[in-house]
Amino acid sequence: MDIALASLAQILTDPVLIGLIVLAVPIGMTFGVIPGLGGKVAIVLVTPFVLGMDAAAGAVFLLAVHAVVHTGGSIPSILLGIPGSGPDAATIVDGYPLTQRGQAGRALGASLSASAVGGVIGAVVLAGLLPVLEPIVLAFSPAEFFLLAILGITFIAALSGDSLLRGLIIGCLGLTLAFVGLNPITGEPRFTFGHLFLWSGVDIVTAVLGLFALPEMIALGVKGGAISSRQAVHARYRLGEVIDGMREVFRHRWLTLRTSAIGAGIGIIPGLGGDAASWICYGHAVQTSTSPERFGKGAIEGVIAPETANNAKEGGSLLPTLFFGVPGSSGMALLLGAFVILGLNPGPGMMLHHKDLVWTLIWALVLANLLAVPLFLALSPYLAGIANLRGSFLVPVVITLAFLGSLLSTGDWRHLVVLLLFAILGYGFKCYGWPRPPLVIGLVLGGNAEVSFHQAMGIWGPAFFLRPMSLILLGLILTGGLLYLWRRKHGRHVDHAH
Amino acid sequence: MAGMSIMRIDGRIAVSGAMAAIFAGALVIALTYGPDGRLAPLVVIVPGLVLSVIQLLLDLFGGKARAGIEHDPERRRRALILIGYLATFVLGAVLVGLPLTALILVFTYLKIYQHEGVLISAALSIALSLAAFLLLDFVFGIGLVGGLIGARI
Repeated sequence: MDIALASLAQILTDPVLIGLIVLAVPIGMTFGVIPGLGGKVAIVLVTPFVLGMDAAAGAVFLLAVHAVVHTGGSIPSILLGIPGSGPDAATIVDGYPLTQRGQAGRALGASLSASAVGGVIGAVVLAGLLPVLEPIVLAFSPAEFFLLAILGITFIAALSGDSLLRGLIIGCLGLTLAFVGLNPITGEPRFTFGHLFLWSGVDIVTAVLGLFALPEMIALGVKGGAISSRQAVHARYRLGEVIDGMREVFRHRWLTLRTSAIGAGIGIIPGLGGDAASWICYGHAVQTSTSPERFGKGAIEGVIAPETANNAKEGGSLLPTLFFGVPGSSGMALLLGAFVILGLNPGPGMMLHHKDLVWTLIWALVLANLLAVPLFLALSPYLAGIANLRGSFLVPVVITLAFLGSLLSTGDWRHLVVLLLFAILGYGFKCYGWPRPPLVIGLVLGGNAEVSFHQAMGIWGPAFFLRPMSLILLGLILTGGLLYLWRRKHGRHVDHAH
Repeated sequence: MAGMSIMRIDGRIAVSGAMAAIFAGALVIALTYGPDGRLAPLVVIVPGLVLSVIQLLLDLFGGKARAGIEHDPERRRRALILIGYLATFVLGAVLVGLPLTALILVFTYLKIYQHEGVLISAALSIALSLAAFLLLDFVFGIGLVGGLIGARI
């Protein structure tokens, strides 16, 4: 409790941290508003600009950006019927009909307060589970660290696309790329082809910019035209309507609490994906309603339920990301990579040695979600207009930022060639249904996984796979595959990352 | 034979083939390292190679083809133009620096490829060029603002 309060005092009295959160929130919401961009592109584009920052400040900034993406994503969902990103799709079902009935302000207000409350509850769930986690985390050895990396890749492969096989192949590719550079055990250069600039390995910032940002811009340039195909009709609303809509969350407080808790719980479980939380909670709202026939036609609960879940799951998904190095979603995979770049080492060490940082991140999550409320009220009319921007303006801006990001990260022009290669590879993956997040996970976790593997082999030999905790993790890896098959059989939504 | 689709070389197979080739090449290279250097790579590369060969065979002889850009000449043309644009961006950034490259290529992209107005094209290209210059030179002090050619002048 002392650490929690000290971290809160630190964040509230540090003008840099507060300033970073104030800056991060509109940035995150802007990325959420533009269909097709979303949290993943936000993280990859923003990460280069926090390099060199204090690790805690950079992590706070990135987390705040990521935390409010879905708050912004509700705007095009409600006003245009187009999701800002996958998890925002559930909001359209009742949000867009509300707009068509002239109640856009009410829908936006409900989504705003639902997002804020959900985000705060997600952070509370994370905080509440910290004491429970400590003994579990302390029981981990190098054998488990290695298997956690494999688990992370398996889960992301299972949720990131249409094919587990392709996801696993991409994960192996990511791990292979992690071997580029100096061998951490022997110091010999591997897969560098005689190029000195590769001795430090594949730059993660360059890789994610090339894999995510540039292929999206190629696709946008190929598609041409406006980002959204609809103009915002019936989108005029008054501030009073928005504020009235905000009260709906408190009129439906029990639904809000339940869906926030469900969302946070789903976020904790890697493999269910971002879409799952919003759709499961939407279904819960329908099932528990006394008049389910209203849903799909503008029921306000149909906006509240998915919006609370979208933001609550971020707090939940931080738990496996921070303490086990297993990202809870593909967005968390990129955030994990960004944390590693900043010099943080997500894993059991966070619990043991950096509890103060963990609490700082929890408070940042709370403050970002709360700060989104007044900023949303002030900026929503302008943010709505951004979704109608022509894609032709976005493409050169993002390309320039991506090149800038790679140069800022590496200071070496040779990595621009690597950036181009990743862009071509990423576009090929996008066109032909190969998921990209497993590559990032493999790249991020590969180095530590190799060290852990050698340590485990040195201590136990191949028998380390038979340790009780290792068997549990192997069981979870198998479960990831079975979960994928179950989702495929039942036609569940997958977290499309391409 | 019933159930087997005609083998076609298309983009889907090209990606699968590229993945198998990457792992095969990585395997050959990994075998040249010492025991400690090749152990972890082999643990990853061998399964990766096996899985990618399986995927390649599945793409060659079975399953529905995912509609790729090779089936749409206009999309293919635009994709190649954009990839060429990116390659030119790289070349320009390396030779003359990112600020100047952004100034020229952003303007040409907007004016010629997207048929935007001169004023808006110029305004956006100048803004991006200026942002690149300020960030690279003043804020972060990264070298190569003027590229390899600029560095020699």
